[in-house]
Amino acid sequence: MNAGEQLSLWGLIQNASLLVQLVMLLLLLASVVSWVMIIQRGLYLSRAKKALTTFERRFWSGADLNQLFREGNARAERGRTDGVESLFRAGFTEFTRLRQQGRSSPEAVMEGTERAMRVAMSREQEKVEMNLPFLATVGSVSPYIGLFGTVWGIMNSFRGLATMHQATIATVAPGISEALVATAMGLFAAIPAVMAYNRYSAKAEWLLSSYETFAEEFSSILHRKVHAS
Amino acid sequence: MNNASSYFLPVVISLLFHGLLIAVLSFGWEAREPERKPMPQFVQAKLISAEALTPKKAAPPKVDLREQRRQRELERQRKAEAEKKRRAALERKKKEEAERKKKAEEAQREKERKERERKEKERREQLERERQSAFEEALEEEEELLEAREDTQAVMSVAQAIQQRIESVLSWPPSARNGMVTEVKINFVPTGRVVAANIVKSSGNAALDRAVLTAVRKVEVFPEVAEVAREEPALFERQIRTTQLIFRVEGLRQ
Repeated sequence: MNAGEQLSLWGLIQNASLLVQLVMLLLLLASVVSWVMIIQRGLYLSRAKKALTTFERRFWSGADLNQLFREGNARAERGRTDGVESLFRAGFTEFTRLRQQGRSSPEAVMEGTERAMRVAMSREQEKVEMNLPFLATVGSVSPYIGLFGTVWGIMNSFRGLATMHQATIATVAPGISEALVATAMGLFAAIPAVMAYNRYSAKAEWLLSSYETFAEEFSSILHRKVHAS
Repeated sequence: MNNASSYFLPVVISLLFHGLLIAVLSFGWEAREPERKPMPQFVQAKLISAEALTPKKAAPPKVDLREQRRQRELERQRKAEAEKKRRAALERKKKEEAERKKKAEEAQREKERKERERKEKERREQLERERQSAFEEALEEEEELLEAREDTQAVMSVAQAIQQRIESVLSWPPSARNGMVTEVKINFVPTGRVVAANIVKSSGNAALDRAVLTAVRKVEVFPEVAEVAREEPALFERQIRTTQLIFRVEGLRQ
């Protein structure tokens, strides 16, 4: 066999044993899916951050709360409210509803509003942290899977060496090389996943704490409103 | 948030990314040396006369007929000259070309001849080498055979010496009968000392077996063995370190 032909990447993958090929396929899939998650999460988180800053600017510019609520109505009907705005809408809906009943005490109104915001908050948390566990899993497990494929391949190649009369480096080198492809793929899948996981979990934490701060501030405004009237 | 549509773009990007990566790896990652292209031996050059290259300018219409005729005459002359020059150049070029070709062919032939000679020489050398190596092998084999014969002789003499030494101190027990055979395995160390002695095949008479073992232990050190171990360690390791001896009860008066 031509040495150059044998050592091309495809040649190596084709010559690998079935198990090693399966491992490679698994790692390739993991890499593809984790990149899908990375891109999707990145887009979502950057959009959420932008939405947060624009909404906060709008909120603190002294606009009327009723008007702010009405502005978001169209988007809410299409089901596209996100992040801090959905927090605001949940709180404000509950607040006006309780106030219109007229019989609740100010404490009960505040309690109901805060509860509604907590529910919305936990829903947001779910959305923000979605898919992050998958990235963590890929980041920590795929090097091991790759290593497993490599160890298996090297095992086979040494077993083949044992039956040879003349053991030269050329008889084991292709086997080891093809086995090492698995480790390379594992690392290739793991490194971006770990980086993305660290970055996105920090970002998610920051987003959630800003949401919480906003919820507190908003409830203090409502509190003032309740006790003023 | 609309889930399905938010995944569409990432999926496309990710698939594109991996496809690109695989393509790059499979086309760019090969352990092959770049082939050396044979360089052309000479550059083909063409001689072009300067006149032929310059575009002919259309002569501006002249009013003066004579002047025009003269001009035409001149023009014709110039053309004829240029033609002559061109033809000469062509001739020359052809000649040069032919010469060059001839030279190149000659060089090629020379190279081929040399190549053939080299190959022939290599083949001869190879044959010579093979013959040489076959001869050497045969020689080696014979030497080995001789050596082995010598070795067996040495071992035999050592074994005999050991046996004599043991038999000199051996006293047959009263229950021993003529024809009884005991096989003993003795382990030596290079100093000639016995480290272990075992019965391999018993005679059936326990007293006789014990008597043989006692005799071996009584002698304890065999100087012959030490000598062999000093002079030919390999032989000692191979043949004498574990020695089996056969003792046959003979010459007893019944």
